[in-house]
Amino acid sequence: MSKELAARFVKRFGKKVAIEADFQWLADRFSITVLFGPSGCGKTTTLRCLAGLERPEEGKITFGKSTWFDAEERIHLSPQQRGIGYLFQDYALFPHLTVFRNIAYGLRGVSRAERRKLVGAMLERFNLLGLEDRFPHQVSGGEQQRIALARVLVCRPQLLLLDEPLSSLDSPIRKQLRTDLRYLLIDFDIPVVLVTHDRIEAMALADHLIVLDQGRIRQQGPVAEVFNRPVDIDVARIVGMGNVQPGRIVETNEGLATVEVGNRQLTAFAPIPLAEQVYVCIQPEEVILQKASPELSSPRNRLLGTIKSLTHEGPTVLVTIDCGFSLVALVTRPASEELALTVGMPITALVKTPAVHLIPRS
Amino acid sequence: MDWTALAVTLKLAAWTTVILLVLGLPLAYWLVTMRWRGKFLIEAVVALPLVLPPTVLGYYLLMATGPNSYLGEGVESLTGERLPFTFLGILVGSVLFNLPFAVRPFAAAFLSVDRKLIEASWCLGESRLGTFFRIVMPLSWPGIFTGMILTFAHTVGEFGVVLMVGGNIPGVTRTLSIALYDDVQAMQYEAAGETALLLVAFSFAALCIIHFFQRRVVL
Repeated sequence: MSKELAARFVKRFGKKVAIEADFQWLADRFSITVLFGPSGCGKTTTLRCLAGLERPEEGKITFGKSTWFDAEERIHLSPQQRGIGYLFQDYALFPHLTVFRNIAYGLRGVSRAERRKLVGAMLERFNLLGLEDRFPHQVSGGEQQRIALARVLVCRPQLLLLDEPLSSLDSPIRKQLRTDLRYLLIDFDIPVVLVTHDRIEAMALADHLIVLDQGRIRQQGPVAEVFNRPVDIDVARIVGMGNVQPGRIVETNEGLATVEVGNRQLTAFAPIPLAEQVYVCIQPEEVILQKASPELSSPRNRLLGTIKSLTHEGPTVLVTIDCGFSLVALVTRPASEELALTVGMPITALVKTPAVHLIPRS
Repeated sequence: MDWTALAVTLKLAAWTTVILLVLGLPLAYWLVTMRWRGKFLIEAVVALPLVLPPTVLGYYLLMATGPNSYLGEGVESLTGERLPFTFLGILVGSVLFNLPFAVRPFAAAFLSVDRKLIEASWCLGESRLGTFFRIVMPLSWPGIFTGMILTFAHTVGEFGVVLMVGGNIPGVTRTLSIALYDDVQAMQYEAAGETALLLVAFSFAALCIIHFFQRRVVL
């Protein structure tokens, strides 16, 4: 059975248009759609509109055959009627109920034995055995998150909505759960909509990415495409494109464009005709560093420069190179050590043609 | 010590507390959850007894429920009793006059419940009423308890409304505070002193319970 989630609505606060959403995708099996954008861009409000916690002023939201919201028909299903699971940012566990009773909360009209069985299976699945008689304030943040997930998933919702599920966790657990979350959810075969402002989280978890800014959808598509090929400068900024430089197209020949950046020339694909003025975007992880200048190599863009700064970030190193313009490369710590990178040393940066993305500049 | 007056007082306070629990909880929840611009009007009406002299309420109650009024006739045909100078009369007065002492702590307690918990309950499929009983009530019981104690204590000390509506009928409307007033009028200072001391001790104990309790809840 193919189910589609289709949402097209306008939500206003006061007279100002706060959110203009328009998206749809197949939601009949597990996949994670990430609503991504800076704080205050309307991600959470969009999620709350899907949940029925907010009522939009215009538009329509349908899920499969059922209409959740229709402004013209005056339909607005309550959260209870939508069969969704909603994970709140700080989990909203009920402080007066034990872990067991929190998880069992949504199981109504279920016999005592059945309830024990269902909750027991969840405790086991989410690695919470032994905690069932504790209260929420007596367990760790990571455990709270898993309890909240178990409480939502035990009800077998048709759609799972996660609001910044990792943001209230400490950094080491956050990294661990970033990997575990997908693995935990995949078994339930429920479509997921996840809200985050963290680009690493979005990259790690998303199948489909929707970039929101100031209440509007700026770009949507597969995660790699949105991150590597932003449609405009705003999206490039939001997705954290590491290198954005103004450039000028000097020549276009057989789908390849020669772009002048600073005093250097770069080769890029130009599948669509572009105006002369462009921004050149290069993801830092797409830049290859090499010590000596190679005689011949396949990457079209070979840029000789000097290292201006090195910034260590966990297992990676951000290398800023002056090669006529400022170029940032992201390499692993072992690679940096092997090349013995130091500030001031000459280096060659290699960038393959497809890694150079051009967006119009007005 | 006027034991009959004590019994009347306790009976009045107990009934007032029970009735205000039943009426006050939904009223407070309604006030907290309603989104109407004119809400302040209702809030002001509820809070009115805080500033109004009790005699004013007593006067209007007397006028509204006298045997010649529609309300008075209605009550009489329903209960076979008139309101003025009966226990039912002082009970009605007491409930109205204690409204803010119950509703305001109840409302404050409801407001302090994290909205997200209520929404989480809805999203787990629980109805609004079910959410009230499973989440809101258990989490606001310290405030509800405070409201009940305050109502009880305040009713024990009520004077003006009782005197206006109930008069001074031993065993029916004569409460401790009226007995005290009566004793002083009759220059029976020893009996008055006993009653006064009892009222001070009781009020002090009630406030101690509330404050001790709130501290324990906060910590």
